[in-house]
Amino acid sequence: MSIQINQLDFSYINNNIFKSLNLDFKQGKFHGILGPNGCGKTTLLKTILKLLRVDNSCIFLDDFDINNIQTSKLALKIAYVEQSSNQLPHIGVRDYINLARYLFDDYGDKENKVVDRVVKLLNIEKLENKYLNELSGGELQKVIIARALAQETKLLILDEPTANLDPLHQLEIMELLSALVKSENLTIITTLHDINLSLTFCDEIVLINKDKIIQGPVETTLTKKNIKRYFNLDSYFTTNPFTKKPFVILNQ
Amino acid sequence: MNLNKNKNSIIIIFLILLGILLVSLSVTKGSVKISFKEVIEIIFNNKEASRSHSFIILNLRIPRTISAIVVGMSLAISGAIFQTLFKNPLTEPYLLGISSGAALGVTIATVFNLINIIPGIWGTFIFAFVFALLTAYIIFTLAGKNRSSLLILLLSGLAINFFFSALNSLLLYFNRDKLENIIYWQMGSFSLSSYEKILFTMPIMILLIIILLFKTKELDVLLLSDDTALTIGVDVKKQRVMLLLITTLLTSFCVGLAGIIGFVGLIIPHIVKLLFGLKHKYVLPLSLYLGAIFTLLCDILSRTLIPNTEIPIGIITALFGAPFFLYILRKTKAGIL
Repeated sequence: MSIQINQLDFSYINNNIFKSLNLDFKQGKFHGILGPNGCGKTTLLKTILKLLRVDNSCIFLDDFDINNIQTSKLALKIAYVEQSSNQLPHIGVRDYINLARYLFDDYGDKENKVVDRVVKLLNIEKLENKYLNELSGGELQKVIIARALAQETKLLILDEPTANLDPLHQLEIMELLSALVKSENLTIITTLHDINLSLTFCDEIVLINKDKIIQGPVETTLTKKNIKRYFNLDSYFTTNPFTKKPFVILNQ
Repeated sequence: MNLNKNKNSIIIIFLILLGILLVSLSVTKGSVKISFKEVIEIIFNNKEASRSHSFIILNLRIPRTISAIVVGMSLAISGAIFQTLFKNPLTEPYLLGISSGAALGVTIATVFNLINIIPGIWGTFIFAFVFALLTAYIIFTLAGKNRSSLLILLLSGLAINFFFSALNSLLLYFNRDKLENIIYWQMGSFSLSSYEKILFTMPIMILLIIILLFKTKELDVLLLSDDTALTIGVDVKKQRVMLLLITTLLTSFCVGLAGIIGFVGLIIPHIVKLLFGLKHKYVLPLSLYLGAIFTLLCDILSRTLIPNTEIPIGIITALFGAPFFLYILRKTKAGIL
């Protein structure tokens, strides 16, 4: 599943966010969206999800104008993981994952095969009988991703999935997402703040800062010049001895 | 798991027996004592029973019992749904001022003799509904986009509650001739129940309750944030407006039937959630049942606690409700609800 954005204009009252934005999210890739706070990363995700309304025909899902797809039917195409700050209800992990089956006939089935599958896929069997508020930050993020996967969409959109997590769980979540792109042939679009995590795991990068927006493969987009231009930071590139991927040290 | 199942079956059997007991008490107890045997004779063969007893059972106590059951069901299910819609364990139609809005509508109509514009008993219910709807609209607009913010929502509801109570008092102050009737009715009572009212309201209320019972899936998803619920496939705005309309209609019918009865919508869903969890598949039907038996119990107490005197039921439910409200506040801090 791919997404094309053609000439997207978006503004909140008196605040232009995007002007004539063109982007192309290719199928089967891990896309990272980076930029300073308040630059419009979440806004971009929300326009794709139709959580924010765009009047013109400028966002296309596999060549279909998303304005012609009912919001509820979009749930069969794209799943979404919000930023973690949102309050979650006091319900069990399995019941929570089951909510993703709302549009399907197997909703609420005791032995739901899809729920079983995602629980196994994410290796969270031991959390199944717990309540959401008994989970640690890392466990909770995995359960939320499991819920999104249970929608069985080919496109997964995440908003800062590593925020508030310790380094171990940041790596674990990114590895998990990266593995899903390959094993499940998913397309993933995620906003991120960590440049090194992006260098290690993403295939494609979108850099946003006001009206300067570029998109391209990670190695040619997250460069010394662009880091200066988009984050106003100096950088020193080296190689991560463990992953053999580029590693960057930043300085103000 | 087995222990839980056993525990649940014991609770359910207990609740069924309690329901049967309360219905029998409701028709036998009151200022005139009528034995259960006589009640059965009156219902199935009223030739030998005394005419006055027969009248009391058939025209007073049975409609009263039916009203208490239907109003209790409606209040409890409305409370359960409000708590999910506003993502807030402390909301119910009464606390948010919807009931007082409905009551104000009836007072205005009574004081200005508007009720007779609409023939029959329709007037009361229509004025109650229009004002309840207006209140719901005002609260929604005031709470705006921060619908989930506890503080804004409760403060808006509280402000509306005070404002409408003041308007109500003002109207009554200048119309003292109607004071006693209106005040007594507003404190809540099933003493004015009649078949006419039941026949008019019950089919609609039962229909609305059935529609709500078909919404358990949507309500489950609405426990999540609006954005997540939307991306899972629930048309949040449409569902919210529809559920709010139905519960407002139910609440205003309750006010029309029995005045203001607070706290049922708060206590009952919470007891159910504490015992059986948050899944609406359980919360809604169990709230209906517990709401009915709690209201029935309060109604029986209201007419038997002090001999030959009827205490308004709103006072009884609040006497139970207020301490429970404090208990809920403590539990909420611990993150259980």
